[in-house]
Amino acid sequence: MGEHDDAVLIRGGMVIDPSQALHEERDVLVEGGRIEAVSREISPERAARVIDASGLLVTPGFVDLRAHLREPGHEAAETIETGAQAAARGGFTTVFCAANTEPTIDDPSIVRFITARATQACGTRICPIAAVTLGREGKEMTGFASLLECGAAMFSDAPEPVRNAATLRRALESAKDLGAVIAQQCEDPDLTGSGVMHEGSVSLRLGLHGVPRVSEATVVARDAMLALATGGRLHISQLSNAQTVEVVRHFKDRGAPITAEVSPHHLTLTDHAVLNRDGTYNTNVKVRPPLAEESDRAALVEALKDGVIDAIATCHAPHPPASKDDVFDAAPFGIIGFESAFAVLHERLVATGTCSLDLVIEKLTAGPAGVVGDRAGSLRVGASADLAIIRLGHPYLFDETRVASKGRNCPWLGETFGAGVVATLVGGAVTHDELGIFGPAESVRA
Amino acid sequence: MQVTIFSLVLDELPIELLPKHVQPDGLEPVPGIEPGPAPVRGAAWQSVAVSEVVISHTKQYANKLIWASPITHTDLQNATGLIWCAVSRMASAETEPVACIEPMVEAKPSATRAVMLDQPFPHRHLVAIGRLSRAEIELVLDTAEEYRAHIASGARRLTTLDGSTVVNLFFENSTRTRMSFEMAAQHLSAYVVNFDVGTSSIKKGESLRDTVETIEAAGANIIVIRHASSGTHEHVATFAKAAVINAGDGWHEHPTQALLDAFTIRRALGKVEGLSVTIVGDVLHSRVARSNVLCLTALGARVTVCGPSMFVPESFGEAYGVRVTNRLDEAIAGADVIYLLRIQAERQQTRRFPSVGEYRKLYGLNTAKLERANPDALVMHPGPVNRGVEISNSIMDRERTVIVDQVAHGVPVRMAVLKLLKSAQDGVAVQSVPEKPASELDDG
Repeated sequence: MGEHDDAVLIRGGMVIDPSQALHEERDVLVEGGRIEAVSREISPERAARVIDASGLLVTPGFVDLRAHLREPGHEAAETIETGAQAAARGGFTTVFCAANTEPTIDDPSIVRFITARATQACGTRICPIAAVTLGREGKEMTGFASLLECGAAMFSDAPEPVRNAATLRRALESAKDLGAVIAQQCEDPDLTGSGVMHEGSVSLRLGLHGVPRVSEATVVARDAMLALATGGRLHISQLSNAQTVEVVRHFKDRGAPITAEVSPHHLTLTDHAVLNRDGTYNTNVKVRPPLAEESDRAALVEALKDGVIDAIATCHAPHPPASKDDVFDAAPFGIIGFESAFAVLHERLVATGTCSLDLVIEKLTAGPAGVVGDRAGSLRVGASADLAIIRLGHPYLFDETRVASKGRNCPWLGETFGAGVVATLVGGAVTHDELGIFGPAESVRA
Repeated sequence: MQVTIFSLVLDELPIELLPKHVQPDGLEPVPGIEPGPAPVRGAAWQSVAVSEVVISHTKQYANKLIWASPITHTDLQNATGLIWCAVSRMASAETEPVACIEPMVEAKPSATRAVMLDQPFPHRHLVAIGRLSRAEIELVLDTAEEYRAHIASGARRLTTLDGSTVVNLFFENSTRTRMSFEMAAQHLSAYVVNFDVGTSSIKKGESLRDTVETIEAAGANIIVIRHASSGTHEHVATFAKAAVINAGDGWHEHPTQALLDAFTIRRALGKVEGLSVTIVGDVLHSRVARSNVLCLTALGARVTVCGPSMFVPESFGEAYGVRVTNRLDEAIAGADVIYLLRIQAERQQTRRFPSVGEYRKLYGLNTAKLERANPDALVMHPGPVNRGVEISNSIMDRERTVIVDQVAHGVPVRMAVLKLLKSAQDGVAVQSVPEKPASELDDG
């Protein structure tokens, strides 16, 4: 039995793996950090330990294509360690971290720094997104080949777009040559101006500078045409309104090599959330791109269902708590998203009957993995044993004790959720175990 | 569906002040919901904490009993005119909240003011017109009328704010508003301090919260704030111990300006109810326009906003329930009041309109345009005026152009606001705030 010393059998859980169109009760055998078997009845003798997962969901670990871990440079907001822990609590096993650190992730040394810091964290896979241009200034391109070689997973200047169309065209051409993906958070800086929320009846009432839908939609149209023309892979980050959905649909129908992602907050909130019940302005929903109207939210949900949108990405964006305690104009953009993502999606989309559970899991696993051609997000035999274990039907208060991030800028604090991620495994190692189902703490990597 | 129904006690309410959908013939029972206790005639007015107002997502009964989401305390107050409402919370988060309002018939409007004078003013801060009910707006105007007469009689300072300190905290430049607040405070014997933002540690990065708390620690009882960010006062009111008065926040509100404008209209034309008021100019970027729209519609005027689409988007009409037009002739025909906004280059991110000449040609008011459309209209402007741009010299000099009156009325209106907030701060009835001339105090 020596060869099974580290084998763990996760028994009797409802396994949902959209990459294999699987949604049935299954046993999962993990060995050597990999998925050894997924089947109806696996003999306990094949494992050193048996975990009872009956009544729980077992899914591939979630993949987040967009998160801000703030290190290096803004460690008061988040570090790779706290960010990785927050991700683990939300069931995320692979996290792509944005390039807007200080210094910018635009040089192999920074990529190596992040990779090294990630090995000291709780085990969540951290994939650095490198900038498209040096310092994200939109001028000189970074060295894609050397960045890829040392571990960069994608290229993006987000939250800023690459503004110059000629620069983006060259970047897409290079991306095509190297098999890389460019992610753009699309926005026309002139149309956005100093806008702080969606332009509509709420911004009019609150006297806040609005961002029109066309600020995003026009740039997506331009960029999708460049992708079509160059054949370079373009990923649209943080889609936010109905007009943009139509543009993406149009270009996908014409075979443009584009994919798109949306955040949990854009799927579940509207600009009405900016106005609190007591008349104050809610800086915790100040976000880029801004939350739009109900018709936009509904269009995003439809696009998720019909495949125009490939993935859900949290855009986890922590800030020091005091920075959001300010007037709306002065507060920074961003919402923390790891810990709440699945719970919110389940509460607002699945429990309401709007989306199937399988669809939400797919857009958190196989969907995002497919965007970057990653092997994560699947429980196929031989895949890395990255798992999320979920409990439904146990309502709990989502409060600060649930948050491992340094940020508290979350609009859902104080809400009651019925679904929660109770355990997370990365490569077979436990990164989160709320119920202690994996037993003593020594199984958790330091 | 388990629902706790709001119990609204409406005492001697003039029924015509209610919007149609809460008037008796507009009411329909909500199926499946037990009605709350019947309204009690003659019971005391009740007010409740803002936090207890509930949102309704039900649109089925819109225009009958229920408002669509989101509904705020302010909305409820505005919608029901004089009503103070008692609102109770939902038994469970699952249920759909419902507001049930049962107005009383045969009410006498005269009792309203008496009731309000018998208790402290219900707002600790003046943050926005949108938070005031019609009765509260009228109470400010009535109080201001008393002060106007007092000033006109040349009487001595009053002691209402004796021992209080009013701090003017202006993050944006202002001459007339700040001066007007200063004079109002001095008429009521307050100490007045002007906090100079330009030389303060705000330049060194001090946060707004720290600044306000510092000023409070130094002894401020009332802080008058002007700030470039919309919602500043909503934010400050969440932590301030002193009374906060909004002297302008971004594009959002400038409540005392709207109050003095309503006061000016009421003095010139005898009433506001039923009047047709047209606001012309850069409505989108104007806090004066927003506060005036809210104040005038609350008082029963019909408002039209006019300007180029980039300044007056069509959606403004939906957001505020006002008429929108891009044609000046159409906008001013039949208007009782024409309110011209200043073209505010300083609050625009870029110069939006092609040129001053273009603006003047299309939207500048001159005698020819006025004669053609409506020679008797009252013309108003919040100042400072760009002569020859939004308004011609000949209009400035006309008798029914009341821009100077507006400035004059700023002082009594701000005195009224200071007095009412003082009554709220002390928790004493509005009427009993001591109103002695300063000389009597000196005798002691």
